[in-house]
Amino acid sequence: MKKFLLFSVCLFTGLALGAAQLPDNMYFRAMKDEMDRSLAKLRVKGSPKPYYVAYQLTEGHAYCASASLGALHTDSQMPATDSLSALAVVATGTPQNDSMGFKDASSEYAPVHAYSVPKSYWGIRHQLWDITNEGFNAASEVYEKKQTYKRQKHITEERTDFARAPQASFVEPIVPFPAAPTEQMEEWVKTLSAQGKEVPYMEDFSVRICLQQQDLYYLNSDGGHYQYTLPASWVQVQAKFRNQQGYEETLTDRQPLPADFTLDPAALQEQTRRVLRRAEQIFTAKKGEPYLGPVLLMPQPAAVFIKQHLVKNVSNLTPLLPDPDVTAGSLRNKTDLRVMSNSVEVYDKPQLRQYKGLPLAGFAPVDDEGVLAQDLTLVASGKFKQLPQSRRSNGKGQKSNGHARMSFFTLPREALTNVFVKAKNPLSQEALEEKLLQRCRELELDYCYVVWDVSSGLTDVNLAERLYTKDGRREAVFGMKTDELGPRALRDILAAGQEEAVVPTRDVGWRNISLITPALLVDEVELIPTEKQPDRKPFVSKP
Amino acid sequence: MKHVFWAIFWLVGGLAPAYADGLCDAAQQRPLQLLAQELNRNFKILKKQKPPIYYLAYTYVEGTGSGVEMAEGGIAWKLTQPQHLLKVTARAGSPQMDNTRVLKSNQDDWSVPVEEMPALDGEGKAFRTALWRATQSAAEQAQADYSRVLADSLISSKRADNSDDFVFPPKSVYCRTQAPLSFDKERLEKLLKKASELVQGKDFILDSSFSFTLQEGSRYFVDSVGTRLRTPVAYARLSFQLQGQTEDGLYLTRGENYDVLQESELPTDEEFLAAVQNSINQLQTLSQAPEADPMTAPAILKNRAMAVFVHEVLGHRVEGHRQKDDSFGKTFTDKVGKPVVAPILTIVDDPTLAYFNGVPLRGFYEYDDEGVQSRPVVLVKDGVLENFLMSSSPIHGFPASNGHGRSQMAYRAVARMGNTRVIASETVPYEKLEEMLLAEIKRQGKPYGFIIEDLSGGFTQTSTYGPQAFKLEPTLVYRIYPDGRKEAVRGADMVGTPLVSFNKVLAAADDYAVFNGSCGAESGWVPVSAIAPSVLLEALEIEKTGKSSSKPPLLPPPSAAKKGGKK
Repeated sequence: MKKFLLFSVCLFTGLALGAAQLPDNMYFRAMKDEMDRSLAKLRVKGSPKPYYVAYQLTEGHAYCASASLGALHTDSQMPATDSLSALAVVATGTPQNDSMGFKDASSEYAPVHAYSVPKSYWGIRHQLWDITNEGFNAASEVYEKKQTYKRQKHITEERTDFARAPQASFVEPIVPFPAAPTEQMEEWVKTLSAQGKEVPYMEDFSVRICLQQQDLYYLNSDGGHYQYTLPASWVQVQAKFRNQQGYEETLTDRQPLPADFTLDPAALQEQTRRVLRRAEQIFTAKKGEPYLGPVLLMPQPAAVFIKQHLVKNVSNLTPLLPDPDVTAGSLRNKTDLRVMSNSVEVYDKPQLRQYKGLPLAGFAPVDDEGVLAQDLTLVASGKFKQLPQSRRSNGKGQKSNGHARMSFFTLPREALTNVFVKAKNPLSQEALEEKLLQRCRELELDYCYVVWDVSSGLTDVNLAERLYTKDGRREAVFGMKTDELGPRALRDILAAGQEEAVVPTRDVGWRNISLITPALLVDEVELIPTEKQPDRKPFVSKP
Repeated sequence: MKHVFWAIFWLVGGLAPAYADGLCDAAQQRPLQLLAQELNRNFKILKKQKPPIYYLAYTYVEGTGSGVEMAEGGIAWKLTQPQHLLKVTARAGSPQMDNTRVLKSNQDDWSVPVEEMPALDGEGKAFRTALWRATQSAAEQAQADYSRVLADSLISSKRADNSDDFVFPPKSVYCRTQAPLSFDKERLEKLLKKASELVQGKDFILDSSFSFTLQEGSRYFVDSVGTRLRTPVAYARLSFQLQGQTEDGLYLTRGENYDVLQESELPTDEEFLAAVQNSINQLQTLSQAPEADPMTAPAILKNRAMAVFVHEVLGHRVEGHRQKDDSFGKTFTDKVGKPVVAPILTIVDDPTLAYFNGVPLRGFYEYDDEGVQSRPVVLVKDGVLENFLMSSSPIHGFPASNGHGRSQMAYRAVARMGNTRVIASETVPYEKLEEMLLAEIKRQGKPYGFIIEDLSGGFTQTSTYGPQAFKLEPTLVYRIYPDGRKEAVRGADMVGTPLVSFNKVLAAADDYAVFNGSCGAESGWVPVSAIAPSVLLEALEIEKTGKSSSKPPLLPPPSAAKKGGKK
């Protein structure tokens, strides 16, 4: 915990509460000027006027190099690209009763957006003008629909739609996107991907290194604002091959790169070797058979498990009208109830920028409603302690804790940021496996499973290992999927490991988050074979 | 009246492709060597499968696309994107019936996978492995599609034209390279920036874009017949688009494209800025212009508008595959040897023309996307239909390709246009044509006629499910009154049916001009050109353009609301 506190203190240098001065640059001048004009003049007779506007500008930078089987792909010859996009949130009515929080079948609950925004003061203003107008028209329509719905359903309770909250700012100079070490990157992707050439059954083996950065600029009409840089670089190694039983398999391993863009050759080599090792295991693996019992999820699969069963169900907690809102997190009413095993605790750390040298994708010091983001103890002693809240969290005693987040696909709603799953008593890998075997013996099972590699939804298990209870023998298995795991599985966590994976990903609203998870031993998981059939042997042999 | 001799066309056509300078030896081209080697290795085995892959071809494009777009003084996007793309064409079954046959019982999907290829360096192992993977995948897909065709043939009604699905293209070997296109991009960026700032302060301009795009590289083609081709890919375009919207929801656009291959062919800064200013003025005029009323009246189709008209209304209907597929209306299928347009018109599609009057033609190509050498095809001679545009899918009476099998990279080729030329046997100066229009208006007792100055495009209905009609969208139309006064009108669409409309051509001017564009159809987007003179139509039907239900933005554009202050 000390580590977290130290980082948080460092970060507060750029944070301010109250009406801080806006950065003096083209982006903020354009946002401020267009926002002022829109709030002052955007009117339609008979419709409520806009009372709240927020803009986010994102300038993305990228340079990638990739190669297959030792030969470069064309993206390596592309100069670094940069692009500017814009989001607008427009609310009409009053904070007590506004146009937000309602979504019918004909509309999306998403901000209006624009890509390829011209990089000039007038170019930015022009696009903001365009999307504000569209946002205002949409808000006017939704406002009327929402009022009609409330009248039809006799919704008369006085709950403020959009609560006041102290506005904060976080401003730091934008870090220029560094000149990419193009030659070095090309050499590495060529060398690393060439290792696939030595594997007779490998049909494609590619390595892609992408240096990426997002410069974020945000301003709302209550004064909340932020400006900072979010690094998001990664390395991906991918293997495509047909295993001995004729199944086409694809293994993908993506790892984040340090915030300062440093590339560690040893880490790249280890990642490449790991994929080759796993490919070799899958090549000779057996197809799985139905199984119900304890499973040890290694850190990457554990991150997917946490995303699917915890993060998803504690996001978007304030339901949208009309009822029922299927997008609202299903665990929203479980405060102080036992939702998870007490062998782990879960924290959310929006102020944390890096962990173990890796940038955290969920870094969001001020949320997308201008509120200072607070760290949360999400789960302790198996119970929910603090849930993410926004200015629209209007339940009894609720107020924003700075966790309203938006993306191209959702207006600001309650969301997590950097999710840490911490074992109360972390176990070594050996101890975890021993505990797994012990539990299997108790259940009189011949073997149990360690899951090493899954596809993003946890539905497809690309590589698992059987651990035989009798002699501890290991046997690789492929072609499995999990069956009907629900949030209840969170209560089945028996133990957690020491080693952690840092996994940048997107949540259900396509918002950037990071998951920091150890291996998790889950007491009951059902694994069943996939229906996939073996693929035809190639007509012609590999060249 | 001037009489244009038919022979002139052949002379111009024959002189155009003077490209001997860049000729190269196909056998020495590394990509062709590797493509051919892998094709032969695969084809040897694939042709013995059940069903056999009886024809195999690789199209490989190695090139770079780049460009910059500006608006309101800022860069909207700027990109340089190298591409190494591969398309595998595998035909399963036999030429009589193969996997490409359009299903009678279902909608066909013309798209095909395109693979991004690794660099062709060293021993080329990665390149060859990628080729092998793509070939396997294409062969499996072709066999699966063939089984669907077989099933369809059992349950569907008899085809009106039971021609084969494929005719083997002749073997060709050709190699030509082109020096890289060279443009002063810095100057162009400055010019675009300056031009993009001209729209500021204009409340009737709601959107604008100013761009320069460039695409260049080489296209390699090898097939199981033995064809080996390398041809250049080269397109460059300077363009701008302005958009407005009237209070009643009508969208208005003005713009200009300059298709060039050399810096010297570009307009000067002054010319470009003047063209932008002219379009701004036109858009302002249009935004205040009265709305057109539906009516039929004599009209002049200005040269470039006529070029688009011919492309849309006649060109698409003489594409070979439309005569064979029973889902099409087949307006011209049985009209060979019969008059279909006014006798003063001859229409030729000539992809071998690289330039016309100093303007590069986007529809120029030496070999089509099925590896067949391009050639001029006389579609209509003195008003009489003679030919169809043919790909390698034969139709009744037209058993072979005439080099018009074209496609975007991710699509199967079908018969498409290249450079469609309208040649009038008798022409008059344009001023005379306007005099003739006024006389025709008076003769018919009409209150006014029309001059269709510019046409952005439109659509033509060729399927049997709808009427065989067209609707074209002029972007600049004038009413011309019997006293010669002209008045811009907005919201006028041209409608009609092809057989009637082309017979209404009374006269043509001698002001041939080029329309360069991109044409979208089943086989994707392909670059095309059309060349035509202005023509006088005895009657043209105008109807109101559909309007958007959304109103223009409530506030004026920011730069029109207030300029000045710190930016």
